[in-house]
Amino acid sequence: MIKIENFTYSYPNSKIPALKDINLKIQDGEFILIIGSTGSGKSTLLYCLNGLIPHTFGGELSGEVLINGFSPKDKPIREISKIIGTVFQNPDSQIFMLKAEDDVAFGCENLLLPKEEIIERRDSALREIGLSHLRDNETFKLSGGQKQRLAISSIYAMGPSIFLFDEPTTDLDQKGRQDFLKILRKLKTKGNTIILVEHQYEEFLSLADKVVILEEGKVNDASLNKLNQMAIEKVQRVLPCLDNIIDLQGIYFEYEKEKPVLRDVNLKIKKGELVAVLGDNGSGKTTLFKILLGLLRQKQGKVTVFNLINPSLEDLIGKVGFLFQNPDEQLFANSVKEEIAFGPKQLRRKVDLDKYLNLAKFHFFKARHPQTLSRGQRQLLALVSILAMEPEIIILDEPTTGLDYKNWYNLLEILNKLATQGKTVIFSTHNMKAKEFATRLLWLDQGRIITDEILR
Amino acid sequence: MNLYIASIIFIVILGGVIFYLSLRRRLLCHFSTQELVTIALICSLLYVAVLPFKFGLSRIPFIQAFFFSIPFTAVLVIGIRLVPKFGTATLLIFGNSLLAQIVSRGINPLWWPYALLSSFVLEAYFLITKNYLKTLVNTIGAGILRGLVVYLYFYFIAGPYIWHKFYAPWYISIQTLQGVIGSGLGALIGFALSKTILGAYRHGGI
Amino acid sequence: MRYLDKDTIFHWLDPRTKIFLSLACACLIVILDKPMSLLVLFITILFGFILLKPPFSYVKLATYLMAIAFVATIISQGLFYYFEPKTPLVTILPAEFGLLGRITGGIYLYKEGLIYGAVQSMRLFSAMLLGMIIVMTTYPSELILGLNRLGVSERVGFMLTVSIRFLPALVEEAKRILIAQRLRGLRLKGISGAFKGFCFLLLPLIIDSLRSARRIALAAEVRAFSGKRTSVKSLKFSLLDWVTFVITSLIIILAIKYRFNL
Repeated sequence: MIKIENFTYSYPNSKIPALKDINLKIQDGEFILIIGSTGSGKSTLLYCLNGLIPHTFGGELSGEVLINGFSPKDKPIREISKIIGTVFQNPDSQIFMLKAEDDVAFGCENLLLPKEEIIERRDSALREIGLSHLRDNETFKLSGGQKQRLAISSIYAMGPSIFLFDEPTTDLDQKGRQDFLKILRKLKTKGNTIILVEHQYEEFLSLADKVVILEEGKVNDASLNKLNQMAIEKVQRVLPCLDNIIDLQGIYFEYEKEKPVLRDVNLKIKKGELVAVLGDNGSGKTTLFKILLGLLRQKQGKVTVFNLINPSLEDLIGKVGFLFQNPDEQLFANSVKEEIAFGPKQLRRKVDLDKYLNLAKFHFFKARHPQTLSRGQRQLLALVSILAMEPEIIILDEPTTGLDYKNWYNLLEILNKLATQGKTVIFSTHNMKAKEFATRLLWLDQGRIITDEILR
Repeated sequence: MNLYIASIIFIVILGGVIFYLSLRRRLLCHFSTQELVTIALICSLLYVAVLPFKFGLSRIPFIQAFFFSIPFTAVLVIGIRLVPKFGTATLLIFGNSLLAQIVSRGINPLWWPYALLSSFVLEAYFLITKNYLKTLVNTIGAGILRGLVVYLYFYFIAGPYIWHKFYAPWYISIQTLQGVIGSGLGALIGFALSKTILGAYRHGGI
Repeated sequence: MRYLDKDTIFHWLDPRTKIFLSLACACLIVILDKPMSLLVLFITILFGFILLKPPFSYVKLATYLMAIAFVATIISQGLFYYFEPKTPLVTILPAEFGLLGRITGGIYLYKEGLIYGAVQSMRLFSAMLLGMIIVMTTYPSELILGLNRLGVSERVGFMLTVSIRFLPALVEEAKRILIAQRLRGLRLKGISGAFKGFCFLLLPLIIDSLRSARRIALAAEVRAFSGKRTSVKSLKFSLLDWVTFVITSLIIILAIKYRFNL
């Protein structure tokens, strides 16, 4: 059983406590869902349970945390990890070895278990989580969902009875989330205690025994229904004009011979549309974008953008903007203002910088270094920096990943506004809610467009 | 032949002396997990930074010294400034050497003395100056020292005694000068870049 | 050069034996003197390389690297040969030509130098090929395990594993950053462009790596990482390893005897 009593915690060098006066009781075998916006202290709460606080992070604690009678501050993390296992958000950062089965054994090896026991635990974990067929695979080649499952089996092999999950499905596609749900069910059936922190929590509500809402470090007793029900304004828009700005005919592409990624894709996109592209990882979304951008040349078929036939990247710079999934790969300047001015400066275009600063409400951050902003703000900054170049077409690769409701709502509002101004916006997402912003829905499966729906 | 054995003995003795000195000053501290991982990733980055220079233009041996030294030393300086501890330089340089060998070039102990010698000399430099690249002067000094050690070692020891290759004094001078200038320049760039990185670090962005 | 999943005699050897082999080859490269013995060494290793039946792209790469080494060595030794006799084939800068001529003593391409260079390049070939053979027949984690058993600290082994594991991801990320920069209109030309491009690439790459380092470290701590661990895999010396060890040692002893007329 986990008992948290009057617990307050502040990170070192921080005057504001990250957790204030938390009181929580979790029985063995319960499934607890913890939700709240970014910065509400959800991860901090988990770290207080698995020993990272105070051993790794330090800081000031008061109050009590008791797990099966002991307090995490009295035992080293190694001992705690035998009882509590933690799975983090980013699957890549949790895999250390080159081969899948070696990674599953890694945790047990660190626990200094004898060889025979490690082999037994490893094989059992691979079986339970359903990865036995992938055990010899190189970890670099696994999909996101498979990597996350590998992380789970590595933790499972260490034999904990309490599982902590810190936003584990953020980077996963639909299939990944379904597989994850199955594993959660299995863990729960076996009597394990599960504490899950998530943004997209709807699927897990039915499994949860208790829901804890955290807001600014305090447990919030507000009811679920009040949260995050933001009205998505259906903005009245001018009908898109009849010009096709993008025209794909018979696109076929393969990276390796006999393994086609895009098959016979035919697509016409008009100026001013807001297109949502859905589909699992591996369905060809990113490849499609790369071909649109001129980064890849299709093996068969014709690409027409702005009446340019098969344009290369050079032809489209300044006219097409692309936002990568990871904003940190796109921030190059030393201040927010400089970052926004970067693109136009390279293109020698004069733009109204203040307009773009205001777009994301960045006026107060003008002089701050981009890397000191929060994840959501960095994402927004990367987007605004591209918008400052005033491209006609904007393509975004999974812009909603890693953002909580408030942040991606802001993002999608900006996209909506752009579309009303006549820009064409195309974005890929796993988030079903995000598609409600779109005017058109595309669904890719195994390289083919299986759904092409006009929404409004 | 004798000189080669002598240089190995020299490296071992130098290593031993540094180790002993450091124990006396209690500088040999364990790296935290995060520092270890940071060093590991910088090792990989050392490999990546030099990658574009492996093919193409800089295969021309005359300017090669210059072009390899700059990115390598820049990333090295950033790495040491991020983890300013005893042993960082050794882990970075030797780790990168092993990494490059395991991943592509093939295990070749003949390249180990370069890595070990330059890292030991740098560690000695840091111990003597009691400064892990905190100042610009110290950094450029470290860069120049590294360039000097690596190139002189090649032309006076490895070249003649391992590969039995000989070079004229004027050629050695040019190459060493290039290597030293390149390393110094790389150190300068690394110092400037690391200021931004450390700044972002301090503001909690990372 | 990557690991080849095959079943050859090299694959059967313990990684420690292979490390010993590379050390032995290094010794031989230093000790051996006569062109004939260098040739024998090179042919033996080449034979091992061919035995592996590597894919054509590897053969191409190996040939390309050896060719570059060959040309560089021949030219450098051709220019700088200073034993006697030496007969100049091509005169690039006569010794009497002004200041440069006096400093350098003249730059000539010597016939004996070219031949000497050709012979010495075999040392490079042997080292390169054996290195490639080891990479092709040993999985990286096996190699690191071998190093650990030979006394290298577990923490260093962990560090190497992480470096190798994340290298491809870093290369991909670097490529993406470069594309993102091009998309923002960054156009880099010439030498100063290359410098600028390097700085622009390095900053986001390093900062993102630092963030990853933090995440990876947390994941490692939660996996009970402390620097000490047992291992699922074990290394055992087989008869083949002992035989290889004995034969290689004998060869080295013979080489020393022969070279120094003991």
